[in-house]
Amino acid sequence: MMLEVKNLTKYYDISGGLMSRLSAGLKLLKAVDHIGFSVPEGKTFGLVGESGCGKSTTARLITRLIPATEGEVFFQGRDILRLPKREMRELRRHVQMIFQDPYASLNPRMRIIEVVGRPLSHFQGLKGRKRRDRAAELLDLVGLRPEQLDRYPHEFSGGQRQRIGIARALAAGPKLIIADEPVSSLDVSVQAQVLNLLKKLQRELKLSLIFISHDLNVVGYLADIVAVMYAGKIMEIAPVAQIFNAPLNPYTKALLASNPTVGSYMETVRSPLKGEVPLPVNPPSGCRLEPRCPIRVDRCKTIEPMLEEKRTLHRVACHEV
Amino acid sequence: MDAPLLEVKNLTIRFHLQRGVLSAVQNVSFSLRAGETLGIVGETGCGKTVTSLSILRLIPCPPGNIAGGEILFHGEDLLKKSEREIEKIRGRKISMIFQEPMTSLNPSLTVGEQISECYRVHMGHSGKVAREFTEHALSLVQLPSPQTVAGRYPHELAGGMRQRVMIAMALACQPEILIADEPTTALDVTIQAQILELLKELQTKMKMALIFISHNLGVVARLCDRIGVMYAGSLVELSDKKSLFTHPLHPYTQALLNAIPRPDLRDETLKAIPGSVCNLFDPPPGCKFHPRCAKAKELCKTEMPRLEAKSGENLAACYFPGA
Repeated sequence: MMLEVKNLTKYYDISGGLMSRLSAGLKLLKAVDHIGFSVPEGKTFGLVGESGCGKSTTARLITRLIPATEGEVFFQGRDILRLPKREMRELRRHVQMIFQDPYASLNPRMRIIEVVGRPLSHFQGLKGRKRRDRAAELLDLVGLRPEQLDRYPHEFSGGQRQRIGIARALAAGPKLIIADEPVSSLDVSVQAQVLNLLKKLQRELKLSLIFISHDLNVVGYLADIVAVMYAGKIMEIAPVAQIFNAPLNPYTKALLASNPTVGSYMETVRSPLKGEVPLPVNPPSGCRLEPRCPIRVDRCKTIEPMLEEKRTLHRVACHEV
Repeated sequence: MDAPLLEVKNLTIRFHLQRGVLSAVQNVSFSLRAGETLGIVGETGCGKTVTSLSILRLIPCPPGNIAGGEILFHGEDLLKKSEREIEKIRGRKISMIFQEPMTSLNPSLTVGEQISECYRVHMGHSGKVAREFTEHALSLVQLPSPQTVAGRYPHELAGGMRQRVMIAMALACQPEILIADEPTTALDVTIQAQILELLKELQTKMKMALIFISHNLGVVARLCDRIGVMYAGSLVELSDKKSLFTHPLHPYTQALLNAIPRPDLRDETLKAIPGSVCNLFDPPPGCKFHPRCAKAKELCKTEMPRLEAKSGENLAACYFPGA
C-alpha cells in the first residue's frame, strides 16, 4: 500500500467564548470522524461527497497542512503525522498537492520558471541551466511550451494554470499526488483536457493519486477505487464499477440518482433525499444519514453503523444492507 | 400553432471597454412558447447570461450597448419600452432567479420583509395582506414552517433554503416567464435535485414558461423541452431535447457531449476540444468555432453560417451539420 489512513479524525471546537461555552456547552464540529482507507500503489483513489463532508479536510490532514485530532497516516510504513519536522520536509517531496483554484494557488509575482523551478532546486538540488532544462521538460510534459517559462500566471487561462499547478507538483518527483477538486473551476471542454493529462501522467509515471471531487462523473471516470463521504464519515468504499453499478449504501444510491447525466435526458427530475446537507456539529450517536435516510430503522438513531465488508472489496456503513 | 410568448430576433450586444469592443452576443434569435422549458447551455463567456439579462433590460448601458435586434413579448418590443413601462413587466410578468442566492438577497432584511415587498410594490397590497401572501409563497416552495422562515435573515438559512426563498420571491407575482440563471450551480447535488424538482412542479402548476440557463448539460437534459447551445456569443444550435442528445447537429454540441467524463467510458481517452474559446475582442472571421472544429472547410473560415432549420424543426448554424 502506498498510503494507509487509520482512525483519522479532526474535530473543531466551535463553542465560541467562555460565556457561550458555559451557557450552550461544548460544540464540536466533527469534520472528519475516525475514517480509514488505503491507497494502493499506482492507483487512483477517488474521494467523493457534498460540501462540508470532510473530503478537503482529509486531504489537508494527510499532507499535514492542518494538525489531526487523532489517527495515523502511514506512508510507505511510516506514520506521517508523527514525523519530526526535518523528516517531514523530506517527505513532502513524495507527497504533493494540486489545488482547486488555479488563480489562487499560483503566486502572481512569480514567473513560471520560479513556480516550477522552486521545488526543483529545493528537492532535486538543480540549479541554473539544469534547472531550466528540467522545468522546460516538465512544461512540455503537461502540454505547455518551454518558451512560456518566463511568463507570469496572469498570462495563462484557467486550464493552462491548472497544468502549471500539475507541473509544480511533478517537479518535486512525488510518489503520491493529492488533487483537491482540480477540475471543478474549469469548463467542460478544458476539463476534459486536464483529466486526460492527469490520467496519462498517472499511468506513465506510475503515480498514486488521491482525487477529491464533488462531481460523480469526474470521479467515476478517473478513479479505480471510490470512497463516498457524508458528514465526516465514510459511507461506502468499493472499486469504481461496483459503486456505480451496484451501490449498497442508501446515500450513495441517492447521490447517483441525483446526479444529472446526459444519458438521463428522458428521465424526469426527482430528488431522493429531502432536507439540507448537515454539518456534523455535535452529531447524534447513530448514523449520520439517519434524519434523511429513506430506509432508516430504530437502531440507526442510536447505534452507529461500522464500515464493514459486505461484498468482496466492498465496504459499507449501513445497518440495513 | 400559437404565436410565441417571447421572441428574440437578431439580438446583438456589445460592451465598450477600455480594452476594446467585446461582442458578447451576436445575432441571437429564438422563441419561447407559453408553458415550455427552454434550456440555454454553453461555457463561460458564451453570452448566455448577457442574453437573459437583456430580456429584462438589466444590461448596464454604458458600457453595454444593445446594438441591434428585437425582444418581442406578446408582440411588443421590450427594447423600445421606457424604463417606467419595463418596470411593470420586470418582476411581474417576467421574473428572474440567479446563481448565488446569498448575493441576490438583502442581508439586512428578513426573508419575509423582502418577499412581502414584491406584493406591496408590484401588486399594491397592504402590509397585512402582503404578509399573508408571503407565508403562502414560502409554503408553496415547500419550506418547513413558513412563519418561522419569514422571520429569518438570509445568512441563517442553508443554501438550498435560500434558493427556495429566491424562487418564492420570483414567483410572487405569478409571472408568465421565469428566467433561471444557473440557479443550482452553487448547490450540492442532492439539493440541486430538490430545487430542479421544485421548479418543474411549480412551472406545471402555474403554467409559466421557463428559460433555464446552465453550463451543465446533464441538468438541462433532465429539465428542458428544447435546448439552445451558445458558443462565443452565438446560438449555434437549437433542438428538441431528444434530438440534441441523440443526433446533435452542430460540431460544437457534438464535441461538448463527447467531452463529458462518464464512468462507463473510463477506459477511453476523453475527446477534449482542442484549443480554447476565441478572443471575443477580436473574434475570427467566419464561424467562430472553426479554429477548433474538425470539420472546418474554407467556407467556414470566411462566411459566418446562419442559424437555420437543418433537420425538421431543429436549427443549427453550420454548413456541415449532423454526423
